[in-house]
Amino acid sequence: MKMKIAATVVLFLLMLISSASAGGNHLSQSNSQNAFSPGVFVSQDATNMGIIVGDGNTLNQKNEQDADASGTMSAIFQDASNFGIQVGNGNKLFQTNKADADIRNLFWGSATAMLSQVLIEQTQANLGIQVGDHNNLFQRNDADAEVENVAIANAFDSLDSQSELSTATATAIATLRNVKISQNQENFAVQVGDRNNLLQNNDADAEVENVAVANAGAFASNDATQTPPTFSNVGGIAQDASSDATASAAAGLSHVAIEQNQANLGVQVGDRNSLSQSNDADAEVENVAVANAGAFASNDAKLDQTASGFASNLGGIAQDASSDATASAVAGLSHVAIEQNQANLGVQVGDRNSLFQSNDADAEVENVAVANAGAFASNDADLTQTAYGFARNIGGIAQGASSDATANARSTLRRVEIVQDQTNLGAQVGDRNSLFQSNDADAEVENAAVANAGAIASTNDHVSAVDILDPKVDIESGFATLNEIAIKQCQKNLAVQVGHNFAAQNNYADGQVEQDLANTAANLHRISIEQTEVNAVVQVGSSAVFQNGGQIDHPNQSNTHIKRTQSNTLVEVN
Amino acid sequence: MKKLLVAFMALMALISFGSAGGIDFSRSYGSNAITQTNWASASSSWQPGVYEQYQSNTAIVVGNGNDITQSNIADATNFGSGSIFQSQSNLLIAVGNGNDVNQQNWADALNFGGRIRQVQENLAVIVGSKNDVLQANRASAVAGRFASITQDQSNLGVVIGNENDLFQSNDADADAFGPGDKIDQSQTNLAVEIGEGRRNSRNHVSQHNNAYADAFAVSTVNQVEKNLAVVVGSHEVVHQSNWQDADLSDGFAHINQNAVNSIVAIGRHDSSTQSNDQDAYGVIVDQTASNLAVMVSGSQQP
Repeated sequence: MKMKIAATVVLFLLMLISSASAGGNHLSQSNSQNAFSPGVFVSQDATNMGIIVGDGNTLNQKNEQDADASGTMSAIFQDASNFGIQVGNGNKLFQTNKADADIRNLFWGSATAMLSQVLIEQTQANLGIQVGDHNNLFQRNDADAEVENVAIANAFDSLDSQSELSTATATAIATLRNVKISQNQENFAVQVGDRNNLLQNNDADAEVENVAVANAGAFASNDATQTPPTFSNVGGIAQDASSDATASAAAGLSHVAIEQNQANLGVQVGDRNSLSQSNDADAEVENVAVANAGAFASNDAKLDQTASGFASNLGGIAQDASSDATASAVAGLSHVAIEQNQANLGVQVGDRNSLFQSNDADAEVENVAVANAGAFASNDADLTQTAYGFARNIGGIAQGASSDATANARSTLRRVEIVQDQTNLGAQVGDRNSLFQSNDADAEVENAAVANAGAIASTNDHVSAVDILDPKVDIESGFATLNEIAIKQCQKNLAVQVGHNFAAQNNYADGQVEQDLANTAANLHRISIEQTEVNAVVQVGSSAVFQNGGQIDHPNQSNTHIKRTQSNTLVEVN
Repeated sequence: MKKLLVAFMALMALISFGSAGGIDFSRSYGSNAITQTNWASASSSWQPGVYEQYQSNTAIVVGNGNDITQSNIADATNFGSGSIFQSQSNLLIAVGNGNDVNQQNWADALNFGGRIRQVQENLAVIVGSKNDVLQANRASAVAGRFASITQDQSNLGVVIGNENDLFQSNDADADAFGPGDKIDQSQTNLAVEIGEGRRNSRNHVSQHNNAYADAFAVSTVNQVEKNLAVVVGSHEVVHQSNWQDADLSDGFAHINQNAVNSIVAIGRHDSSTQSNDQDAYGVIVDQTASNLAVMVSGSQQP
């Protein structure tokens, strides 16, 4: 009987060795997509799916997407996903998505830039399931979207004349209806077994810069010189010199929206597991709806006569010189909105597990709806007579010189809104578990709806005789209207622990509003900042808890409404 | 003691089955060189015409160490406006060890206006060990205005045995230089490799699709590439790649690109690589790429 059992055991063992001489499979999956469209849209879709059963396997899944588009209505859609399942011990799973979308240098340089719509939409997802011990799972999404140098109008006119008339006119118009960037990132993982590691990360970057910008410059210069012949002036001599420069710039943009959604979901069942979840979002809107206009008019008129004879100046001498510079800038922007949503959800069942969750959001709006206008008029009139004879100055000498400079700047912005929502939810069941949760939000609005106007008129006249007229007129007007700036920051940490555990929670929010309204008359209706921070822990068993919240506000305007809420809640049962 | 002896004998039989191929072709049936070639060429100076070129090779080979070549070469030029149709196929069934198999199709078409259609197929069924199998299709088409180019390429290989190499590739090149042109490129590789025994079957499979399209003015380009491999055995290596490039000279085109790799692998120590590479320049660009794999092996030795 013993021999029978021994033989059976030996046979089974040999068969096991024969059939189990290591799995060790390797699978690499990758997609690379590259596209450029000068017209309508680009759509990119990439998928990896791998299923591996056995021990010691490695699965690498990667998607890379790159798209550039330029057209009157440009749109980029990027969708990437990885799906991996591993059953066995000592397996490794790597899942990454990387997307890059650019809409750049579109309608750049012409006097009129008019676009309809610009859209970028990026969606990334990873799904990983591992069953077994000593497994590693890495999930990462990386999205970068940029709209830069779009709808830019440049107009410039220059005339440098030697005659008596110089005129320069420049008009720039830049309009764009909608700019939208949408980024969605998700990681989902389940691990069942002991000593497993799980790392989940989302990184999103969105930027809208130099969009709907109009620049106009007009430069008129007159350098008229008149030297009559040297003999008697009977019929009269007249010089009429003028320089006119007109520059106008208009920039209009209806909506700018950036939306970023990030989520991590991880579930681990077993002992000595490690789970790390992090989200990082960065959004920036800068130099949007900007109008700049500059006009420069210069007049350098010179009349020089030397006459002799019986009636050396019988007909008279007259000089009339004028400089006019007019600059007008108008910038209009209806709505700027940045919305950032970040969430982490981690569930661990077992002992000696660690869970780390963090969210980091940064939003910035700077130099939007900006109008600048500058006008400079200069007049330098010179009238000189040298006469010899019996009646040297019968007809008289007259000079008229004038400078007019006018600058108007108007900017209008209806609403700037930043919403940041961050949530961490962690649940641990077992002993000697540790949990760390943190949220960090930073929002800044700087120089929204700014109008600057400057006008300078100068006259420098020189005449040897009577009738001098040199009026100088400076007119400058800047007016900015901003209806509302709203910043909402909401941060939540929620932890549920059952057992002998440790938990730490931290929230930090920074909301900042800075307005540089120098040299303008402003009409700012309302600034509101709303910050909400919640830390909540439910623990059953002996434990240690640290809860911390921090809020900072920097508004520098009156009529500001700030609402801040902070709460720490602990429910503990020993 | 008697039962123990029976068990031990069963174990030895198991090891014997798992360490060698099940079919014995160790004896030599002759080392032959087999070559099948078709060559066709047609040309028209100015008159419009219709050209149809059909080429096929079929062979059944039993024995070891054979050198087997099947190839089709077709060339058609039409300076007028008309249509060109080229069809090429190779079929082979080989039973034996150490065979060198080469299946190739070459098609070249030039049409100043009208339609070009190129169909290329290779089919090989190999039973034995240490066989090298190459399946390749190469198609090139140039068309003028208001033309359409259709290129269909496919390889099918079935290999049963150990230490076999199977290489499948499709190359398609289409150039259309007129307004309103349309290019359709379809490429497929299908491979089934089954090793014998439980250890060291060591079969290799390589599948590659390459498609290039160049068009001018308003055009439509469709590129579809597929690889499918089913491998059974240990130490199997599978490489799959799809490469697509649509370069439209002025960008006013609609481009659709679709690439798929699929693998089913059963066994240990297998290694697989799947990649898709897409590049496009057009007004409307739609790119889809996907990799699918299922690999199953036993548990690790404790």
